[in-house]
Amino acid sequence: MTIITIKDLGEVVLSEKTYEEINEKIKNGKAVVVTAEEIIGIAKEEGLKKATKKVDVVTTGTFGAMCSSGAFLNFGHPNPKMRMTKVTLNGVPAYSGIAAVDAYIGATELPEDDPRNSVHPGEFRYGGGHVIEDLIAGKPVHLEAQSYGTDDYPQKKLSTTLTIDDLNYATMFNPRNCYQNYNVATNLSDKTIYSYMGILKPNMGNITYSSAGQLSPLLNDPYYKTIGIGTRIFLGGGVGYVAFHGTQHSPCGDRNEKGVPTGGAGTMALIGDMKQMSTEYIRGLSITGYGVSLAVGVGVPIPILNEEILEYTCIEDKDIQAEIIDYGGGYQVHRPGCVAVTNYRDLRSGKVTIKGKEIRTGSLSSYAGAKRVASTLKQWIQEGRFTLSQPAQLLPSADSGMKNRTLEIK
Amino acid sequence: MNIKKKIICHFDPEVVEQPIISVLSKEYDLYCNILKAKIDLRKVGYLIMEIRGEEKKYQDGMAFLKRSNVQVEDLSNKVEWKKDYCISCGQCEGLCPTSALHYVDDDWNIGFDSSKCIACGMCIKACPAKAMEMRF
Repeated sequence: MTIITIKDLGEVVLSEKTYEEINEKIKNGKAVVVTAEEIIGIAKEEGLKKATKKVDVVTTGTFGAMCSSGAFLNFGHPNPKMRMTKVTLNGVPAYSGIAAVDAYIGATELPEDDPRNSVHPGEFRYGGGHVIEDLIAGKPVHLEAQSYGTDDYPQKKLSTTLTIDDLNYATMFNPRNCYQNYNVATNLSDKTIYSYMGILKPNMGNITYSSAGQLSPLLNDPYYKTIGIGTRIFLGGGVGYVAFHGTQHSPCGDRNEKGVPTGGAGTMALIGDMKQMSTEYIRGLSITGYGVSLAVGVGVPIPILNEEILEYTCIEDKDIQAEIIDYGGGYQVHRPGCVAVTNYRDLRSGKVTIKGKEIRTGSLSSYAGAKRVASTLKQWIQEGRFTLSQPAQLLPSADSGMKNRTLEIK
Repeated sequence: MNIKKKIICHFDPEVVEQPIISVLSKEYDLYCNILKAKIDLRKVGYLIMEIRGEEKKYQDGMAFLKRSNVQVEDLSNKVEWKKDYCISCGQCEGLCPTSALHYVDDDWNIGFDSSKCIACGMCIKACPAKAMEMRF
């Protein structure tokens, strides 16, 4: 704890905690841990200074579709050995252009014979996300592999069934998870739109949103003062880590006074052992007309090192503004601007009013799941089973100059 | 005693030519609110409707339908919510026209009140976890 004396203001005690102090308390079962929802009420009741002193960790949570997800698998060598060049798992292609028996199964990959949108909207009943779910569930998965054969790896074809326990290695690696804020969607066209933001009825028939809002990891540490490479997290029911900033990480856009970005900003690349995960927090998704994805449950603990960090965790749905984007045509062509601006309190109320019209809203991200993640992580920390890790490098922040670009066709 | 019920009527092509609803209305004093219909000449079809009226007249009306080669089924339990598959994302809730699918508690868990369901089928298309199934 640091005490600073400021002559004009009298003695001011600044509660600056360290990771070591907090982890010591965790190991002794004395850490005060609350969720990102609970902290809102605590800070209002007791004030920021008292809350900063009292609370050691705030847990965040989210459980929604995260398309940029997948897993690295290692099958082990068959006899005779094989250098796999084409791999399918339950008919879904996995990328095998790495080493001999390593493969990457991506969440959105489809079986070769899936009809896709040939009869629109397609159902996308099975894909990479479901393979990942089946592996985690302990279900047998059918592996087919081919190779051009080499002197040292002569086997050219194999076909077998395996479960996650047969794998040497099953590591989930998700290049982009946990978007910090996101678009809210509506449809200004006169035809129903089937999108990753759900079914959008014509003529602003409905609005959809996908965020855990006030529970969301990056919205609770908007300038990434505690989150970075090596941050230990809850991932899919097991322990994981932040590996890097995620793809499309774009921290330099406009933000409000609580640090909330106007649109999608920060993202995280996450890594974790699939063998620890559970289908309660990892599920394959079939999004009508769009494709297959993966629902991922993620929880990031935020150490309350000082009052500034505590204040950010007090973010409420009403302060999280979001832009309503037209997925009926504007979204596809990067049309600037938005239909209207709303906030997550209004979105969760079930309806918002735009230009005098009352429009129903629908969530795509499971707030129930986000609550369960945050509560479970809170419990792990309280039980002394989970300590916080100080990142090796914080995520690039608003002063990094990093910004997303579009692809120019030259 | 007044009765209010949601039913599905399945019928063969020959029945399409008969004004079944008008008969139910005129001769059995039943109010018929058609919720969904798939009717085509020379094709098997179905009607989903809510019927209101006196109990005795309702029973007589149903007997008439049976004599007219219309198969009548109770609508409840036509749409099944598979709780174990559900992740409570809320996509169904946002689209359900009768709020049969709704948030049941402070934890934002989804629940299903089949008595309100009109089997429109939106939830089946919307659910990404394949937790909704139509059973007819």
